[in-house]
Amino acid sequence: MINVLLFEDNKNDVAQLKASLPKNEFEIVGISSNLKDGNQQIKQLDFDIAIIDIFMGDKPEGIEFANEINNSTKPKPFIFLTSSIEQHIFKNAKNTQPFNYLIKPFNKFELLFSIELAIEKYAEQQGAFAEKKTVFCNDCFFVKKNNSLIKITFDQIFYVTVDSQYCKMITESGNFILQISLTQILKDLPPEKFIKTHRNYVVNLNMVDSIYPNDNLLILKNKDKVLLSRRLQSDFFTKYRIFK
Amino acid sequence: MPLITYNNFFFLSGLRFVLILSILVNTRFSIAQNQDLVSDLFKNELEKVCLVCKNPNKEIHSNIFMEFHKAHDFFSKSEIDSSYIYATKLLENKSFKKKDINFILYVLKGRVLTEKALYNAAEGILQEAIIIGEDINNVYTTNLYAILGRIHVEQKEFNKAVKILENWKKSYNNENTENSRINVHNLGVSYLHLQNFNKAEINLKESFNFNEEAKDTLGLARSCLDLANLYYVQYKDAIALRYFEKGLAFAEKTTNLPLLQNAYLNLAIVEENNKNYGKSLNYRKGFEKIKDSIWNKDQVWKLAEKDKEITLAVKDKEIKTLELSSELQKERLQTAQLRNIIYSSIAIFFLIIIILSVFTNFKIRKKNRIISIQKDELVELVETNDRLFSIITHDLKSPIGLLKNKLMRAIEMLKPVSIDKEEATQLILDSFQLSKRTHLLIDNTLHWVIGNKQELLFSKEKLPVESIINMVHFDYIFQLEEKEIKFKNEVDSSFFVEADLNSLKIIFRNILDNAIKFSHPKSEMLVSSNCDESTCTIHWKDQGIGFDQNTENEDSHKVNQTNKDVSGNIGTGLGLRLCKVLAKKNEGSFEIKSIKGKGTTVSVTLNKYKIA
Repeated sequence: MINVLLFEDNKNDVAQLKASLPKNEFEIVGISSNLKDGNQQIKQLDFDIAIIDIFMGDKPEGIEFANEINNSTKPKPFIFLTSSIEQHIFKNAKNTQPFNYLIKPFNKFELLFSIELAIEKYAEQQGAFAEKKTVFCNDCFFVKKNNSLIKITFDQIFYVTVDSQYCKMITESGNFILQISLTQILKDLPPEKFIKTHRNYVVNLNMVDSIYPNDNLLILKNKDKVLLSRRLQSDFFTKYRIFK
Repeated sequence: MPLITYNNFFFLSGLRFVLILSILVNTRFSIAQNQDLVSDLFKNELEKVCLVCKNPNKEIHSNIFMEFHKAHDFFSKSEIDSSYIYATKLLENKSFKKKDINFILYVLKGRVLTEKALYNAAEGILQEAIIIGEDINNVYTTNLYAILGRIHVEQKEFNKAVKILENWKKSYNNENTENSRINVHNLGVSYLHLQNFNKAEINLKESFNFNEEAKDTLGLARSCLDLANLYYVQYKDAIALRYFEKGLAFAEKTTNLPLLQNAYLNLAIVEENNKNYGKSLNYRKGFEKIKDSIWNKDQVWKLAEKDKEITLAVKDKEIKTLELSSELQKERLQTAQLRNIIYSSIAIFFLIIIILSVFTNFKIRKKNRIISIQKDELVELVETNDRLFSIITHDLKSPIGLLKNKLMRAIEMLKPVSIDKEEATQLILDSFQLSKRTHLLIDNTLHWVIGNKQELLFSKEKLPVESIINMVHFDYIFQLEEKEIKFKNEVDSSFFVEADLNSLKIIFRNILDNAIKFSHPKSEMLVSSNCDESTCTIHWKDQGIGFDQNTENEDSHKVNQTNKDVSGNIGTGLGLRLCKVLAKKNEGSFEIKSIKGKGTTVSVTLNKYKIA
C-alpha cells in the first residue's frame, strides 16, 4: 500500500481524491487543512507521497507545508494541486522544487500519472514506469503492474532471480519481472539485508528459513528453494552470522 | 557817386615857389568809389527808358532790351566790366535809335571809363553823351559836366576843367547839393592851380559856405584846408594858419585819416617855415602817428581780409569735409539700415521658425500625451478585460468541473442501466456531455487569456505520450461509448517527448473533443505515432465528416470561425487556434489534413526527448 498524506481544505476535492485513488493501492494516512495539523502529521505519520493544495482559503499555506516536508529528516515526494494555471501563483511554489503539479479538475488517470511522475522525479528516474522499470525510493521500490502502481518494501522481498535477460522478484505481494540486471538490482538493495547466494540469486537474509549447505540449498520462508553456490557460501555465512 | 579828394600840399622845402610846384606835382585826384554808383537822379532817368524795369514781370522783352537792362543793372551792382561790355556792344550795333537810351548807354560807358581812370577815353564818350543830352534836354546832363570837370582836374587840364565847370555853374542855380559843392570846390581848386587866386578864393569860399550850410564837416575840412593853401601861396600866412588850424579841427572830427594827415603835415610845414619848431614837431608827430595808424589800418585790414579769406577757405573746407562726412554718414546710415533690415529679417525668420517649431512641438507633445494617456487607458482596459476573463473563467471552471464530475459519478452509479431508468440516465449523460464541453470551452478561454498575458504556467519535461493520451481518453470514455466509436491508441509507450504536460493535454483534449464531435457513430479513431531522429509526430485520425481544406485554411485565422458538427451543433474555432499556439510554444507544429466526407487527420509534431 502507498501511503498518501493530503493537505486540502476543499471537501469536494478530498472526496474526488479519495474516489480517484484505487483502494487496493493507496491509503490516505492523514488529511489536514492547516499548517499546525499538517506539520504534526509530517512528523508522526509514515507516508510515501503528499498531495498539497497550494491555497488554504486565500493563503498559500501549501507552499509552507511543502517547505516543511523538504526540511524534515526524511524528505518525501509531493504534488501541488491547484486550479490556477497562472505563472505568478507558482513563483513561490517553484522554490520548493515540487515534483509535479496537478491542475484541477483532474481525472483518475491524471492523478495517478502525477503520482507516478512525482515518484520518478524524486528517484531521479524519469520515465521509468513507462519503460516498466522499478523505481527505488527510500526503503522501498515501486513498480507498475497491470496499470496499477505497487509499492514493495524491501522486507517484503524473498529473493530476486534471473529470468531470461531480466530479473524476477519474488515478494509477498507477488512476482515481478524487472527490466534490469541482477547486478544492477544488487546495487539498489541495502547490502546488509540482501546477499548474492548464486550467480542467479539475490536473497533477503531475513527470509531465510533453513540452510542446507551440503545440498547447496536455502529454504526460504515461502518454502521456495534457492541455490547457494559453493563459491559464495563463505561470504553468505559471514553476513548471515552477523545478521543473526 | 564819385568823390574828389583834395590836393595835398607837401612843403618839402622852405620856399613857397617850390611849394607851389610841389602842389602841382603832388596834387592827386583819386576817385573813391561810393558804394552807391547810381544816384536817385540817374535812377529816374533809367526807369524812364528801361522797359524791363518798368515791367519786371514780363518776359516778352526783346534781347536788346534785356541786354540794356543787364548793362545798367550790372552797373548798379558795381560789376562795371560786364556793364561796359553790354553798353559797348549795344552802341556799336546801333541797336537803339532812341536818343534817350543811347544817352544812357554813353553815360554808362563814360562813367565806367572814369571809374577805371581811363580819362582820355572817358572824356570823348562823355562829350558824346553831353551832346545827346543837350539835344534831348536831359536833366542829368549837368551832372556830366561835373564828371567831365573832375576828369579834367584829374588830368591836370585845369583850363578845360575851369571851362567845363564854369559852363556847368551857369546852369546849377545855386542849388546846394553834394554834387554842386564838390563841383564848386573843384572849380576853386582848378583856379588855384591856374593861380587865378581871386576866382579860386570866390569859389572855395562859396564851397565853404555851401558846406557850412549843409553842415558837411568833411567838406568844411577840405574847404578850409584848400583856402589855407590858397592864402598860404599868396603869403597871407596868418589867415592861412587860421584856416589850416580850422581845417585840422574839422578834419579831426571826421574819420578821413588821409585828410587829417594832410592837415597835420601842412601845419607842420607851415609852423616849420614859421620857425615854430615845437608846434611843427607836434604836427609832425601827429602826421607820423596817423601815417602809422593808416598803415596799421591798412595792414589790419589786409590781415583781416587775409584772415577772412583764410577763415572762409577753412570754413569752405570744413563745409566740404562736413558735406563729405555727411554723405559718408548717409551712406553708412544706408548700409547700416540695410544691415539692420537684413539682420532684423533674419531674426524675424528665425523667430518664426522657433515659434513654429515650439508650436509644432507643443502640438506633438499634446498629441503624444493624448496618445500615451489613451495607450495607458487601453492597456488598463485590456488588462481589466483579461483579468475579468480569467476571473470569470476561473470561477466558472471549478463549478462546471465539479458538475461534470458529479454527473460522471451519477452515471457510474446508475450502471447497469435498467430500462425504467434509461431516460434519466440519458438525461444525465446529456447533461454530463454539455458540462464537459462547456468546461473545455471555459478551459480553452482561460488558457487563451492567460497565454495572451504571457503568464501561462509552462515547464517542459520528459513526457510519455501514450500515458497522456490515455489520460485524455479517460475523460472521453462516456462520449466514445455513447457514439460507439472505437478508440485505438497505437502510440509506442516507450517514446518520450519534451513538452509541457498541461499544454499537451489541452492540445490532445481539443483534438479528441473535435474528433468525437465530427465523427459518425460507430466509426473508428486511431492515434498513432512516428518518430525520426529529433521529432515525434502524433497522428489523430478519425472517420468523421471532414471538411474542405481551403475553407479551413482561411477560417483558421478567424477566432469566430464556426463549424457545424454531425448533430448540427456549432463549435467555435478557439480550440484549434489554441492548439496551434500551444504547439508552437512547445516548439512543435500542428497540422490538419481533411478530405470532405472521408475524415480528418490531425498531426502534432513535438521534439523528441533527448537523454541528457
